[in-house]
Order: sequence, then structure tokens, then C-alpha cells
Amino acid sequence: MLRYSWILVAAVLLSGRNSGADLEPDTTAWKAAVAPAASERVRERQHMVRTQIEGPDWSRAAVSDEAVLRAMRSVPRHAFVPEDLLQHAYDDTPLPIGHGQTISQPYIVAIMTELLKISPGSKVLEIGTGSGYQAAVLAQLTPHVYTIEIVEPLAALASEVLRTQGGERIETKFGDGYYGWPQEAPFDAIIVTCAAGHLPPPLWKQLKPGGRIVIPIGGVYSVQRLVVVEKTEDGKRESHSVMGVRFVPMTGRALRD
Amino acid sequence: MRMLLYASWHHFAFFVISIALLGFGASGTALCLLRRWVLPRGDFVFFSLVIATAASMPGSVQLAEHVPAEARFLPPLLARQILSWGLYWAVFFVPFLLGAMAIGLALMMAGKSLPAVYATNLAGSAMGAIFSSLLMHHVPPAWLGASLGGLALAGALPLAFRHSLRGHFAVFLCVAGNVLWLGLDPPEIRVDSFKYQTYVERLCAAGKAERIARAYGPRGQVEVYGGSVFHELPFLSTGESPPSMLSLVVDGHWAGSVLQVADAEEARVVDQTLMSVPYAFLPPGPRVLLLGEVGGANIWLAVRNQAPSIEVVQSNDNLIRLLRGPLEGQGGQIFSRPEVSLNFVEPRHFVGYSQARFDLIQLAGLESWAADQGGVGGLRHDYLVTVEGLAACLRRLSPDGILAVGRGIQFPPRDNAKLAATLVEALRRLGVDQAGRHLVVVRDFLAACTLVKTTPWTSAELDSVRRLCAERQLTPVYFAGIRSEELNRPDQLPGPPGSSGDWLHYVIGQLVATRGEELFEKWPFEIRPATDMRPYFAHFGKLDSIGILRETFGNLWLTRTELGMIFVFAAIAAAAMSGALMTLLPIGLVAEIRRAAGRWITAAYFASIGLAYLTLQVSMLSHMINLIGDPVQAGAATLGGFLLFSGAGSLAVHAMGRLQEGKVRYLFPCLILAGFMEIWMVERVVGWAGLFPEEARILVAVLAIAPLGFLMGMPMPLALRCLQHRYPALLPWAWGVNGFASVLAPPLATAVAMAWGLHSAGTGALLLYALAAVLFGRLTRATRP
Repeated sequence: MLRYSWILVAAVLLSGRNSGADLEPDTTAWKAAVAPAASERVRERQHMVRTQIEGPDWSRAAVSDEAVLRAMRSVPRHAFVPEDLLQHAYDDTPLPIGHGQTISQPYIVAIMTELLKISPGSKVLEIGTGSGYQAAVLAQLTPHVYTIEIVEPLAALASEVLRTQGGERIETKFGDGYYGWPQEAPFDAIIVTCAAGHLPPPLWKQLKPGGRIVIPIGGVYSVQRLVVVEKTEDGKRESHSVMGVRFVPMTGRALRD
Repeated sequence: MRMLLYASWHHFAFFVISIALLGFGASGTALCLLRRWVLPRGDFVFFSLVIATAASMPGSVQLAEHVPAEARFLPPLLARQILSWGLYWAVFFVPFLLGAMAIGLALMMAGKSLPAVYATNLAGSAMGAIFSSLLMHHVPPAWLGASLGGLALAGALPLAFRHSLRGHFAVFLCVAGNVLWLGLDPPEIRVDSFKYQTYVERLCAAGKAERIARAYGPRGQVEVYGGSVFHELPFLSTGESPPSMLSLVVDGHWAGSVLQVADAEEARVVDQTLMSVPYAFLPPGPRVLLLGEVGGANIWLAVRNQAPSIEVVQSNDNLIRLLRGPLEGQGGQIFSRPEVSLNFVEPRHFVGYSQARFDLIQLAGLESWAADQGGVGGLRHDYLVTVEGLAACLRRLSPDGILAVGRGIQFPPRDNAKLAATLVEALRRLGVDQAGRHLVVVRDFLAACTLVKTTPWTSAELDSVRRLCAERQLTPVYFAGIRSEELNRPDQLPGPPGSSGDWLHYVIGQLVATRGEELFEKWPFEIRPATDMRPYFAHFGKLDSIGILRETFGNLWLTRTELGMIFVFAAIAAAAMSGALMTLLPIGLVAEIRRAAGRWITAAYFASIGLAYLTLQVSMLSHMINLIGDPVQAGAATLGGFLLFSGAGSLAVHAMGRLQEGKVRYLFPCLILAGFMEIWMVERVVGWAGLFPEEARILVAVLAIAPLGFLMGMPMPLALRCLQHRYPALLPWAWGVNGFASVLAPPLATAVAMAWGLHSAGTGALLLYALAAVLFGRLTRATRP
């Protein structure tokens, strides 16, 4: 069975890009890539997960999804931060990555990933590639990750880092994330990693019934609320707020100056 | 300050300027220490100081551009960021230090003309207050430093003739150096990389946006950007995508969007915003008042609801002029429609004095996310969202009219909770017993919409609210008779344990059921109703809550909380510590000061009058804003008026010659009496003169200030003259102490007003004058030859 699955995956890859709605992801064959830098600073990463994510202080809800924790332990965050901040790569803090942008706090990456409720076959769209770290984490959970960045040089840089870190499967695109990726729609989950004043209607349309969007809602450069918006099977909206966060606007996030 | 407001965030601008002003105090310390050297070379040093001040003004702006100071404090970068802010402060400290040294030295050399010199300084400052507000209309923020430097240099020109060739050469060098520097490196303001402005500039650099228009003035720099990447329409629910739009940026912050549509049909997306909710309960053709409308989306909403008259009140005339001028064909034409009337005045002033009635009054200026704007703008006085301001709005409603306000949801609630508290109190002021029957609050996952009527909502209307919520997927938060099963769905927010409602429902329930005192005490944010005496709607910080915030946000608490109050206290601490240190330094180093018998009385006296003078001004300024209706004009009139009449008071001291103690013993009682009359009478004056034309209101404000300002100008030169004869070494020291106190006063007055109200700040100032009266008697005895 496994052997046939590989054949299916190879066929899909050889035929070019998956064509969206007709995609039937094969969940059994896929295995997350092992990133080259992942063998470095393993202890720090484990410590980060243990103290900040899995067992944080009482003020934060612990992330308990074992797949997410495994992903956070696997992806080398230090590969996505500027050189002068390498020593802080696993600190419990966002870090500036130039252009007024930041790479999110590890806990925020983990909780947003958990809130998406991704299964190995899920098709996930990320708005705001930024450094590429979030996409790399998502790619540990599903092979169907699509990410959009509005600033071309930043997207190119993130794309390059992702490639060197084993994220070749991640589909990247330059463009305005507000409009989503209609050619690849619908998505099981959409993660918006930049501040939005409202839920972009195109993203809502590109979400499958039963799917969910995790989005920081609020003004740019303000404190926003992390909101999970679900589309019920009959297309209605349900939402719940998770916590206060602070994200940069919808320009995507830069890796380095 | 104007430049800093553009470059950074309000609280940082406030902090930097507060600390930079310490240059005034430090000038006294420097003059004390250098007195023996500077006095024999007085003329030349004075001339050099004026030239250096002129050169340092543009120079500081140029240098600040290269300091990488940012508002975002991330723990790993804390040391670096603090160092940057230290440098930033130091750069702006220099012009204040040099300028104040020049004034202090002039006083030291003045001899019998000391009161006249001091009067000239005050008169010059008065003209500066007025001139600078005029200058801001014509000069971009980046060039303000150079312009003021040029002005200071013009002041040095007459002095240059006294120094013949050397003087002329110095002026030439200063001019040539600055022209060269400005030519090679034209001034630009380095905007904090975490401001919206920088984000837009990045989009422009990437070719995805472009600046279409710009205007500047004392109320800020307005910039308009166009591009397909702007999508921000406040409180838009899921549905249709908005049309293309322009983005309005004021002082580097996002201020609104202008829909680029030609007619009401193209603007149909506004029906999907939360602000369309009140129209469901209004009769056809409502008369609409939009207070603080920015981009015009709410005008489109009114037009789509066939409003026959739409009054728009916006105090930033630059904004509207841009929309009606260069942007007329790009969406700005909505402001020129025949049913739209524009009023360039503060919204509070409009509702306070308008006689018209409206079916819908919308507090459009409050429609923002603004969770942490409490830190950014929390120090700003807002007289619309006070109990008195909202009561004035409610009085302008037609019998079935609705007051509506939309505000982004925050967690824990603060803006919406404080708004509800202020509205409930406003209803009580109008004699409403059961405020809960007059309130409807609904929300989605973005924002809450609060609707208030002066008559109770009928059960039929409440049924309509229920139907609307079901149709539009809105979540009811509060109305009379709301059922627990209706709460917190479809958009769920955290709420009290065991309750089906969210926290905002809980807060409003408490407010209408009790006076709310217990709630105000326990709530982690400041949500007491704002009043005209404490007009700080956007101030939510509570010192008691810092511990809770730290526990909640861990080491990132500082980046996720309202910072305004913290910066006020930091400014107070910095000013107090620096002042104490630099006041004590000359005692240790200058024998004449150490040996002077009346040095502590001198310090206490000059500190008292320095604190009192500025605190009283801050207190009066708020009333004058209310009277004049324009904060910029009120600022120029109040500060200019106080300084001008104080100059006249100083001149009177000069004219009277050396007074005997007995002749001035009535000064302080008169001053205190005038102060009390001013504090307690000014509200009546505001009420009486509010309907006058603008020029007349300004005249009334200036005349109201005159007697108090005149008397307040006398204590300083009187005491300086006492020192001049007996202890001349104390003169620069006293100048420095007064300078430190003057720097400490504004943040201290703000802190007192935030805690106890503006009356308390004013009363405190008068108590300080009473203390000064006692000290003056002792000072004259100590300095008697």
C-alpha cells in the first residue's frame, strides 16, 4: 500500500502543481522533511518547547497537541532569525527581523498551529510568509502548505531559507494575501500571521465548510485578539477569541534587512 | 514636539520632550559652575550661546534622524533600545540647554533691568507660542528645526554688530555650515519602523502604493496614499470585498479610508459594516450628525439610507480640505454632496452649542480598534467622551433618536466598558433612573456597537434587535430583558466563570444595577466615567494592575499594555531625580552657594513658583480648549496669553522699582484669590461665551487669563532681584531650580488630573503659591542687606 502511495505522490509531483479543489491528498505516504539545521541546538529547542509551550506558566494555556509539539521541536528556529540575534533564537520573545517586522514568539506559532487543528491531509493557506518559520512548522504537519507574501524580495528570501531547511514542498507565492489563493482553494485551514482589521471576504470564500481561520483581529501596530473563525457546514460563522497578540500588518514579515 | 509626534508615538514624544526640557534646569547648574568664567566674558558668551542655539536646532533634527530609536521594547534588545532613546534625548537636550543658558546669562548680567529682561523673555516666549502655531501651517515638520534655528539666528544678528568682524564671521559660519549641511543632507524625519507610516512607505518602495497628497499644520501631517493593497474598512463583516480605497495617514498613524466610488450603489459595502446597525431602527430619511468623521464611509452609509441632511464635524480642516480639493475626483466628492454640511470645529463644541436635533448621532471619531491607543493617546484631553459631552449629545437627539458608537473589541474590555460607564452616567445626569432600558449593545467578532436612546427601547424595538441579530449573525451583548441563551453566540468571547455572557455583558450589567464603584475598583483597567474634570477617555492604565499584567503577559507585558501612564510617571521620576542631582551639584562645588544662608528657602521658593506656574496653565488650558473649541488655537491663546501678561507683570515690577517688603505683601493673596476665582468661574465663562463667534471666544479666553497671568509674572523677577543684590551666585542656581520645577510640572499636573481631576491640579498650584508667599517673606529677610 505504501509503495503505491509513493507512486501517487510522484505522479502528482511530476504532473506539476496540484490543481486545487480536485486534490485528494494522500496522507499515508507523506513524512515531514528533516531540515539540515534541525540537528543543531536540539537541547535549546526541547527546552523551549518544555518551558514555553508544553508547560508554560499558569497565565498561558499549554499546547498539548503532540504533533505540534513535535513540529516545534523539529524546526530549527535559529535558521529563520537574523545572525545578530542567533543567541536569542529560542527565547520566549518575538524578534525583529528588519523592515519593522518580527518573527513571532515561539508560543504564538505553536498555539496558532494547534488552533488550526491540522490533520496530515489538511490543505493549509498561510497569509504572510515573513521569515518562513510558521510555514516550516506547518509543513511538519501536512504536505499541503501554501503561503503568500506581498513583498517579493522577502518572499524570495523566505523561499530560499525554506528550501535549504527542507521545506521544498511548501508552495510560495508573491502577492496580496488579502485575496487568498483562489486557484488552490478551498482550504481546510487558513492562518493569517499579520494584523487584519477585518476578515478578508476572499479568504472566507476560500475556506471549506467545516474549516477554520486563525487570524489576529485588530488595528495594525495595536494589540489584537487572536480569533478562531469557523465556517459551519451550512456556511455560517462561529468564532471565539483566544488571547491578545500583537502582529505586524499585512505586508508579510522580513527575514533579514 | 510636532516633529516628534510624527517621528514616533505620543508617549515617546512626551517623554523625550519632558526630558529634553531639563536643559532649562541644567542651564542653571552650568551657569553656576561656570559663573566666574562667563561673567567677565558675558557679551561674547551670550552671543556664542545664541549662535550655538540657532545652529543646534536644525542640527538636533539632523542627528536624530540617524539614531535608531524605536518604540517597541523587546527584551533581547532592551539595552540597545534604551541606549538609543538616551541618545535621542541627548540630541534634543542640547538646544534647550544652550537657549536656556543664554537667557539665564542675560538675567545674570541684567543688573537693575532684570525684571525688564525677564519680561522680554516672557513676551518673546508668548510670541513664540503664537508664531510656532502659524509656522506649522506653512513648514513641513522636518523643516521646523531649521526654521526655528533661522529665527534664533535672526535674533543674533543685532548682537553680531557689537562684535564687529568676529561676530559677523560667527554668524556667517553658522549660516554657511547649516546651509551646507541642510543642502547635502536635507532634513527628513526618521519615522519609527513600527509605525503605520513606515509600513506604507515600504509599500511605496515596492511600487504597490503611492503618496497622492499631503498637507501639514499644527494638528498634524496628513498624508493620503493610494494603491490596490489598502483594504481597511472599519468593522466590515464577512461578505463582499470593499472597493479600492485611499488610505489616510495622520502623523504617521492610520486615520481612515476613502472609498474610491462614484455613487451610493458602488459604496454598498458599507451596509455590511457594524455601523449600519442603527439605521435598522430609524425612520426613513433620518437627520444624521457624524462627529469626527474621517474618510466618508459613514457619509455613504447615511446617503444610502436617504438621509436628507448630514452634518459632518471634523476639527482637522486640513483633512477635509484635501478630500474636497485634490481628492475630489477620487472619493473625496462625498464631502461635497448637497446634503452634507461640514463643520470645522471640535465635536464637543458643536454639540454643546448647536440647537439642531438629530435622529442619529454617530461618534464616528471613536470608531477604531484602539486597545492600546490608551497608551498612545491617553494623555490627550477628549471632551466629547465625557459624561458632560455625551449628555450634550443625548440632548441633541430627536425624541426617538439614537446615539451610536462602534468600537473594536478588546480583551479584557476597557474602551467599550468605559464608554458604557460614561454613557450610563450621562443618562443619569439627564434624570434617567433605569439606564439599562435605554441601552442596546450588539457585536460581531470585530467590534461592539452601542446604541443609546433618551426614551426606553420598546419591546417591539427589542424584538427588532433580536431579529437583526439573527439575520446578520450579530451577538447580543446587552439590552433590557436579554436572555442568557441569547448571549455570546455566534461569536464567543471570554466571560466570568459560570456565566453564559461575555465580560462586557457582565460590566454593563453591573453598571446599570449599581453605581459601579466596586467594579471600578476591581477592574484591571481604568473604566471610571470620564468627566470634564478628568477628560482622559483613552487612559486605561492602572498602577495597581501592573502586577496582573506582568503575570498575564510575562516578560512581554510592557509591549502589550497601555504605556501612557507609565511614561508620565517615568517623566516625573526622571525630572525629579535629574533636578535633585543637578540642584545639589552646585552646592557641593560652588562655595558661594554652599555658604549662602537662604539657599534652601531660595530652592523651595523657586521650585514652588515653577511648579505652580505650569500646573495652573495646564489646568486652565483644558477649560480654554472647551471654550475656544480648537486645541491648537486654545493652546496658542492660553500659553501665549499667560506668557504675555506675565511679561506685563514682570515689566510692572521693573517699573515699580525696588519694592519694600510691605508693598508686595498683597501680591500672593491677590494671586491666590484671582486663581480661585479663575478656577471656579471659568466654567461659567465657558458656558456664557460658548455661543460667541470664534474671534470673540479667543478674546474672552485671553481676557479671562489676563489678571491671573499678570500677577503670576511678578513672583519670579521679585525674588531674582532679591538674590541679585545679596547672593548673586544664587541667581543662576535659582534659575535652574525654577527650570527643573517647570519641567516637572506638566507631567505632575497630568498625573494629578488623571487621579483627582483638573480642579485638584489647579488647587494644588494655588497651594504652592500660598507656600511661596510664606517663603517669599523669609527670602526677603534672608537676603536683606
